[in-house]
Amino acid sequence: MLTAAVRDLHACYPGAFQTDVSTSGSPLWENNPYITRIVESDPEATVVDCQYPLIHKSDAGPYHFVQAFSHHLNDVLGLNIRPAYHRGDIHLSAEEKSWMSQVEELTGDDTPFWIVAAGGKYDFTIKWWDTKRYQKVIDHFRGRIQFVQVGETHHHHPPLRGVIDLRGRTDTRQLVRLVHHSQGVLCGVTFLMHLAAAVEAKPGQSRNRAAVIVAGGREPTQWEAYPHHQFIHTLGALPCCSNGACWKSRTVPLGDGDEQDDPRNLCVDVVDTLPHCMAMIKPEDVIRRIELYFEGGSLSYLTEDQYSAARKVVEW
Amino acid sequence: MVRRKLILKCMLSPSAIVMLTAAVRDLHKSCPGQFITDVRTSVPEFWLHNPWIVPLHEGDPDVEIVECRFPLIHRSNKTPCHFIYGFLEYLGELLAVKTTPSRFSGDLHLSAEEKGWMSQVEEITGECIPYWIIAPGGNYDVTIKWWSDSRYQEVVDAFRGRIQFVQVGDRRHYNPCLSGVLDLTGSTDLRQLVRLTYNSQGVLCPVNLMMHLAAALDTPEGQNRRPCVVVAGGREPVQWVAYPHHQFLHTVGALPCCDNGGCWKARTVRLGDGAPQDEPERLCVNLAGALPRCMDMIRTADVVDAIERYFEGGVIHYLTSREVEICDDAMRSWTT
Repeated sequence: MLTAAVRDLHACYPGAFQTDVSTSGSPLWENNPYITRIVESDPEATVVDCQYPLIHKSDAGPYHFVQAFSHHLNDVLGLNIRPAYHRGDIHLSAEEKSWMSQVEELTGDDTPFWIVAAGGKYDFTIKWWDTKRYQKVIDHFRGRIQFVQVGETHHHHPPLRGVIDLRGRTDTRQLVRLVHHSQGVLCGVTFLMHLAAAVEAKPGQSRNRAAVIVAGGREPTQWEAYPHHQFIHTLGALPCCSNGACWKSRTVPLGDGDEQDDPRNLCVDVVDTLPHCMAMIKPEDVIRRIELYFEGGSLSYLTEDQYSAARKVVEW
Repeated sequence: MVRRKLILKCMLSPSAIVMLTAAVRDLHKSCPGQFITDVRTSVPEFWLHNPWIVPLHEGDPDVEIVECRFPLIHRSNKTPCHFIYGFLEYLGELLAVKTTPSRFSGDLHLSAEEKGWMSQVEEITGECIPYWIIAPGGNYDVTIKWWSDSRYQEVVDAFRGRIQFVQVGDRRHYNPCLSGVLDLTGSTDLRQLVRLTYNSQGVLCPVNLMMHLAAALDTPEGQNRRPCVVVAGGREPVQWVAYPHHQFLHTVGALPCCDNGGCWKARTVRLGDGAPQDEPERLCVNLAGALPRCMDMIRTADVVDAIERYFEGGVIHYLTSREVEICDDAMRSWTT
C-alpha cells in the first residue's frame, strides 16, 4: 500500500520530491522508478515514519487501504495527494518479465495457472477458511484450472491435493513474478490479494487479474476490496459484523502467550472450527465466483495438452 | 468569522441528490461554522428535516450560487473513490477548503413524527410486517441496468412464505408485473418511498436510487443496518457505487467489455425514441439474448443466495406463518 502512496505523491507533485524508503518487504521496491538513494544523514532529508491512522475510520468512512498512507503523508507534509489508481505499484524489469514462470520451469509449458494461498499467519487465524473447502474448490476445477499453492513454511498452509506445491519455495520477489504470470488468485484477505491487484498482468492476459477473496466479516469491504475482484463477504449479515467489520484476530486461543489470545481479540461466533462468517462461505460460492471469469470470457480453461503438462508435476 | 452563504443547485437524478446530501453534511463537518447552506435541487423531498439547510434567498448579495457537479466520475474507473465523494471533492476544490467524507451513506432525515407513523405496508396489512422492497425496473435512459423480469419473479417465488416483497417503481418507467408481491408501483411519492425504505427489512434492486436510500436511511430502533442485494453486472465500477454492507453482485473484470472498469453504457438495445442513449457508442456490445451478458451472468440462485446470507447470519428473520397469512390476505384484498 505504501508503494501506491509513493506513486501518487509523485503523480500529484511531479518533480517536487525525491523519495527513498526503508521498509520491510524491500524486494517490493525493486525497479521502482520513484526511488532515489538518499542517506538518512543527509541534512536535507526529511524522515517520515509512515503510518495509516485512517484505518481507525475504515469502518465508517469510504476509504480503501490504498489511500491510507497518502492520507498520512498529506497530514504530515501538508499536501493534497489524491489517489491515481486503485492498486499498489509493483514494478518488474523487462528482464524479469521475459523470464519463464516457476510453473513453466517445472512443467516445461506456459501453462495458465491460479495461485491459491489456503492458510495464513498464526496471529490472524480468523482469516483462515476451511482446508477441506479449499480442497473442494480445487477438485471441482481439476482438469480445467491448475492451482499452484503458495505460502510461507512457518505459517499455516496445509497441503492441498492436485496442486503444484510451491509452499516455502517463493521468496517475495519470486512471488511477485509468479503473480505476474498467474491467471488468477484465490486467497483470504492477505498480501497475495494486494499483489493480485498491484502486479501487472503479462501480455495477452486480461488487464486486471482475476481474484476471488474469501473474506467473511473481519475487514470492511471498502477498505480491502479491489474492483475487479470477487470479494466474498458477510458484512451486515451477522450481528458481530452488522455495523462494520469485527477486526478480531483469532478464531480460538492458540495458547502461545500471544496477545491475540486475549478474549477481546477472539471471534465471538464460532461454528465448529470456523468463524461463523467464514463458515457461511461455501465451496460452491467460491466456485461460482471463479467461474464468472471464465463464463464472461476474460479467461479460458486449460486445454488437454496444458493439463497434461501440469499433471506431470502435481505431486499427489 | 463571517460564514459564507451558499445555495447549492443540482437538477440531476434522485440518486445524485442523495449523494449531494452526504456532501452537504461532510462540508459542514469538515469546516464547522464556515458555511450556511441552502439547496435548489430536483428532489426537495430529500432535504426535509435536514439540519444543515437554512433558507437563503438567491437575491441576497452575500449568497454564492454553486452549480454542483461531480467530475470525479470521469476518474471513477481508476481511483478508489465512491460516488459519495463526488460532490464533496468538487465543493472542496471550488470553495478552497479541505473536505473529508465522514460516513459511508447519504444523509436523509426523518422527523420523529414520520418515524412514528406506520408504514404503507402496515396501512394495507394492518400489522407491522417485515418486508423487502423490490425495484425490478428502471427508467428508459439506462435500460442496460435492467435484469430479467422472469428471474426477479423466480427470486420472489423462491422466498414465497418467507419474505414479503413490496414492489416499487415510478409509473413513467419500466416496471415488470410481478406476482406474489405487494404492488406499490406508482403509489409512492419520493417522501413516501423514503419512509417505506426506512421501515423495510431489506432491499433488492439494480444500481439505482433504492440502493442509495437503503444505505442512507436509518433503521427503526432495534434493527441492524438494512440488508440490500444489488444486481449490478458490469456497468459501473464497484468502488464507485457499492456500499459495504450490501451484497453487490457484479461482473467487473469478468468480461472483456468491463475488464478495465465499468462500461458505463446506457442501453441494451436501441429503443428508437431518438434519445442520445440510442447512439451506437452507448449501446451494450455484448448481448446474451435480451440481456447484457454481464446481467445475464447473474443467475436467480446468485440473488437468492445473497439474500439468504442475511437470514443465515442471523441479523433478520423470515416471516412467521401468521405474518404470511396476513400478507396473503392483504395481497388478495389489495389486488382486488
